[in-house]
Amino acid sequence: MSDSPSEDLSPFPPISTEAWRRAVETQEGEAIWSSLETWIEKGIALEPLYDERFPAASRSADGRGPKAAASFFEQGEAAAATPRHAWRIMPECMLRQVGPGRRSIIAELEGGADALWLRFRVGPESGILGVRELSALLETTGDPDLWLALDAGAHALPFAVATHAALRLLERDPTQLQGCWCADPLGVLAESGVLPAGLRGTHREMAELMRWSSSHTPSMRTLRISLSPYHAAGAARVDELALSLATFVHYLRVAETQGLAPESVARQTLISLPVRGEFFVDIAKLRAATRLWDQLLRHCGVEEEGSRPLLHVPGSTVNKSQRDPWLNLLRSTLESMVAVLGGADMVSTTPFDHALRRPAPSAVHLARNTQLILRDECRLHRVIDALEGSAYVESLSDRLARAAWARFQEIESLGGIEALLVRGKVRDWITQHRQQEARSFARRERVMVGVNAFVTLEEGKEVQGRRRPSTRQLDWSSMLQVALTEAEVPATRMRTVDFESLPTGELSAALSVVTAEDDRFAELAAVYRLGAPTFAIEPLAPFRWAGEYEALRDRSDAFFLSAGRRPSVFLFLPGMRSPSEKNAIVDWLELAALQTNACAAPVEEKETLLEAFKAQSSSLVLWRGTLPSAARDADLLEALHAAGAQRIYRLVDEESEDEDVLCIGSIEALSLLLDELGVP
Amino acid sequence: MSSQIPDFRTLAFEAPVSAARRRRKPAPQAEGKGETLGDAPGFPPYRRGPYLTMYTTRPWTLRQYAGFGSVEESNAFYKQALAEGQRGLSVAFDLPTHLGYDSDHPRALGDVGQAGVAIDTLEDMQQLFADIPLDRVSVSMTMNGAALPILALFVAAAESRGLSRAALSGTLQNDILKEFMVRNTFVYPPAPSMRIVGDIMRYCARAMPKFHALSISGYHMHEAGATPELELAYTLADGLEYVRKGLEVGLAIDEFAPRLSFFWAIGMDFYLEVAKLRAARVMWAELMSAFAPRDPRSSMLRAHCQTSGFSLSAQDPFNNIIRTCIEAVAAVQGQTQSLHTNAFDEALALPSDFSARIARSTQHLLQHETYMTRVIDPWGGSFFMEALTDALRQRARVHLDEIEALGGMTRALATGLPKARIEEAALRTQAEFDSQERIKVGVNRYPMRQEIAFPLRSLDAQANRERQVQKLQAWRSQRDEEAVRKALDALRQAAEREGEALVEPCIEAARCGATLGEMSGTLEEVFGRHRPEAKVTSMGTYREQRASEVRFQGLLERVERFAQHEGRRPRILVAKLGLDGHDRGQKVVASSFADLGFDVDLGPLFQSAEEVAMQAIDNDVHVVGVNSLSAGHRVLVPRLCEALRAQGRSDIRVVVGGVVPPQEQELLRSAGVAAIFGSGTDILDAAATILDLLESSDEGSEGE
Repeated sequence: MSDSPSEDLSPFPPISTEAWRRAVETQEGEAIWSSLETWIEKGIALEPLYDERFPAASRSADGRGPKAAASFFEQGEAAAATPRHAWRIMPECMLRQVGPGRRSIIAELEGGADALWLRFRVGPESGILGVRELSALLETTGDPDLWLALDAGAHALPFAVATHAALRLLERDPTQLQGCWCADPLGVLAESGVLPAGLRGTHREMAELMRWSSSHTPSMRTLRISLSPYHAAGAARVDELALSLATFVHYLRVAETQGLAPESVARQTLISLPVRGEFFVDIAKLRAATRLWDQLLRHCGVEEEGSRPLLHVPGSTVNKSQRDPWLNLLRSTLESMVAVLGGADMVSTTPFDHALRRPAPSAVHLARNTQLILRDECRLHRVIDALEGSAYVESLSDRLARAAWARFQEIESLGGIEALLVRGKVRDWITQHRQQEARSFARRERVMVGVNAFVTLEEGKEVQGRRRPSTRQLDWSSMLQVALTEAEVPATRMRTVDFESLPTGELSAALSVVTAEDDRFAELAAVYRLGAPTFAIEPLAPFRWAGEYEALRDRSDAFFLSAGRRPSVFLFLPGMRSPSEKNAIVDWLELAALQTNACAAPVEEKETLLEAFKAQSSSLVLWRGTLPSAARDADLLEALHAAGAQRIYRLVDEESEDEDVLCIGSIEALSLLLDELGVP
Repeated sequence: MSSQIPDFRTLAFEAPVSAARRRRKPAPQAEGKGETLGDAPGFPPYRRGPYLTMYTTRPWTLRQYAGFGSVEESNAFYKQALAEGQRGLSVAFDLPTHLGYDSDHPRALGDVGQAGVAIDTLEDMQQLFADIPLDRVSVSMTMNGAALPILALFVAAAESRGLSRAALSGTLQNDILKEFMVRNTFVYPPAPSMRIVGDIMRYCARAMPKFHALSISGYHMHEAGATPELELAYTLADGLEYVRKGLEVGLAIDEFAPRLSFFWAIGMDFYLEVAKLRAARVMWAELMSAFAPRDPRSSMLRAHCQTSGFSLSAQDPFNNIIRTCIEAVAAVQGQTQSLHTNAFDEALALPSDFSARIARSTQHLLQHETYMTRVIDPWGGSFFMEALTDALRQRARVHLDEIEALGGMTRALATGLPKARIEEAALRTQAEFDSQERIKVGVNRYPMRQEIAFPLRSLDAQANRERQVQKLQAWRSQRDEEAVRKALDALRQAAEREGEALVEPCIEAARCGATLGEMSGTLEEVFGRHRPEAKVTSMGTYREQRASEVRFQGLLERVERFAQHEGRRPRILVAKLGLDGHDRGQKVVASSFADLGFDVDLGPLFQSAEEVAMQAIDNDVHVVGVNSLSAGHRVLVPRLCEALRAQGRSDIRVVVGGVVPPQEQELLRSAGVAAIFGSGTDILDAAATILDLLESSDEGSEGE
């Protein structure tokens, strides 16, 4: 062997972490470290630099990374033989009526989707009632490669049976249908608060569906563990991960009572874990999730790679804004990148107008294009786990996984997820975190562009459309209750199915019989659930970060529309020299779309000040600056009052109990100002 | 039966280890104090970033490149951008300014104020920066060909406001080598051009300590079709050439190298773009160590990045918001120092307020909503990314060595090799798009079904030009002609003497009221104007990629039939009109049409409509194909049709390809244009349409 150094050996001396830290301290001072740390959530913080704790790439044991890197430069066939199939592009379609439903499915498929998340609304206003309507919809999904998440909420079992009948009507082979039936009793309970067939009944339906599906639709998965209800309500990442484990274990136990082994349950499971676009933090969340599930299954004796649950990653709804809605397209782009880099099998991109209205076709089109671009233009799928080895992401994935495991153990000690959900404990945890987050946005420690920073008054909601109701959107379970009570169930079929007395396995068989006679699956559910008590808890309420700020701007805009002018305040900044300080105050007031007239004359120039005050129309004065003396102060205050000032607040930097004082940057202060100005 | 599901309350979490990972060395603990890093940010070779704390203490600079028809409009736009949180300015000039022509020059017709702002006089420069504190806001100027007069006008404008030149901060692009390679906005031949570069370097090093005399640009190579490894290799090779120039003009390495900066394009190949920025820093540090700098900043590569214009599409333009966002993420994760994000409508028009705001917000959002500024070099240690960085570095090194073996970039350019390599890559890319091996969403797959309406910025080109010309004439009539003449004479004399400094006499001329065109023209009298050679290169590249397609073979046969019937092959002149120097499309079309059996004439750059008509008639072509990527076609294409008609040759068909906004198509058609091919047109489709045209006009003439 030659002694000469290889060409690759760097001529630069290695630098220790200690040397780097010393250099940073020399440059920035020793106090710098605390400001370089970033708090993410309870127990999780980021460091400014992660050193490379893993061996260099060329020495990694399996050499997958370097192999993937080398393949980037191969052309022709070698490059085409990608190491992995791309993820599936799985848009969410909310189906209410047959005609529009067909159109949106066709648009998605022609537009390049290769999976669909079909969400069926069941209820009095729904036009999709049963087998006939279902077959009209499913007619559009004949491509054998298509993957379908068929999501009928609490009604997975009757829905599956009806779908089976619909496929036969279409003369399609139900055993070829691939996708998931999305049975998720706890997810439905958390989101809607209602299980129409009761807790036990719904779980029994789930187990029943697993058995039925393995013989009737063997290419369909049965379970879907959705973390969306928790995510949408503002849960912390660690809690989401822990809840995914707890739900998984809960379902494994339910299945086991029906004689189903963990291995076969895992093969039948799809996990929906939404992400935000906080890039590496959310990538680490997804990587932690797959590690945690692997670990869980290994503890259950499941080792085989093929038994892994599939990972579905939808975009977030928490971080979407009504103002500057185009910026949501950026947020969704980041989320889709996170999903792919985090190893998702299916990705659903949130349309940019989600917070505003039912997504318009153009928004749905762009949501799909986001993934097409990532797949076909960026070819992000050419590498498996591209971040493997990154000191930062590996370390953070590990931290998140450990914290989540501990939380999961806590859930188990407290009696398991079902008990905690029912007792409201999960909601308490989520509320705690959500309040913390809301506070950091209210104090502008965290920023949403166009919402609590970089706001311009002109920027309205360019995208018009039907506003989403601010209340819970998924109220269809309660609608179903109405439907069920009002449904006139023919007496002839009532005796066909007697839920309580049927032995296992007979339920779906009986359902199939009914299906053959009649095709209304909503009614069908009513028949077999007759007598089963509905189970209800308080559901988790969805939450959006931007909500509080948008409420302020909505108030201000409504005032503008009726009064023809913006609510305004007079800003007195005696002797203020710094334009940036003034701009910061004006920017803050603009978050509530408040107009400002400012005067920065020195406090001695009483006349200038009074003139400026009189030249504008607001009687509300905000005062910022030093107070030279109590006497002069009082004199000025008196003069302002005499000139028509109704209310004078002093602006300060810290929160204060004093009721004549407002803290700059505070959202409560903005709300109070609108109140003072008589803005309803 | 006992349960398979254990009691998890007692089971500890173990980091899951795959079989592969289990064999790996156990990882040391997270504390990491005192352990060895491969390299750290702020230390050579700067793989993990040029600065110690990177974005954690100061995020990248948001720097949007912009310039509109008039100085007033541009000034208003800059002030708006600064108010919205932008931290530096970046000026886009129009093509006549780039090429050293005043707005009333006959060759400027059609291009004044189109692709950027027109600057002719000191007054223009003063108005461009009115009310902008030039001692606090740094100004980046994309200027190469006319770098000298623009720098002179900038300094003179600042000094007229009482600011000292030493207080000015900013960057002059001044990278002439890549102009000869790809961008084509040169004025003088290579040797005097390099002399000017060296002179400006020396001047700025001594008199303007906060100003960057040079921004070495790979951006335009990328846009012309270079792969990331070519972009890396050739840009760094250019850098080496400038370093040698700096030494040659008498500077010490540490006098100028700390203020060299680089400019990269960031395209859609996400992983490669992150790797490219990391590899570039390592390579530059390696290359610079040969010059033994003492100042560590001399080997520290600082980069400005711009998202790729080539990746954008005129079709389904909202996709561009997504593309630009992805590219911006790559730039940031590659640890760029400043960034320009393109507006989504840039393939259609200059950015509107709406699109410019989204572009800026893209960066605000990355800075504030993603935690991307909180951890340095997030990809550091990724097995894949480190390997990719290394592989890219080694591959680029091969190309770099090739250039060095030819004696450096100036000599290599004379051989045509770098240009040919880039054109070949561009042709391959074109063929891949045309055969759908490479996809552009909304262009060659997944078409848009529903238009989304949005406002476009409209420019009144005619009015802009007229106003600018009036201003220019008024300026000339008011100044002291004698002083101007003297100052220009002094400039000429300096130019005539090799080695004589040029910046100072140029500033003096600017101060006396000389216009940009006069200053540039004076130097041109001494140096001459560079006339690029037009030739079709890379024959066969396109054919190689597509010859197996039935359609390709069909077209070949059709061309043969045409040749048998007509007695000669279909002949096409692929022309550029006006000052638009973007010749990627022209070269690609010419070369691939040649592969299809056409006789192809390649028109030289910077031709007037009349010159193109004359060449078409002299060569007796069947078709003139005008490739246009600037707005000049609005004026120049109708003039071309008119010129052909005036010569009695309206039988020569005119087709236009490139960026033609929908609202302009009618105008061109009514002027006599037979077909318009938007960007993204498959070359084979274009060829088929042209053959249709020729065959139909053939039948027409037989009928007469």
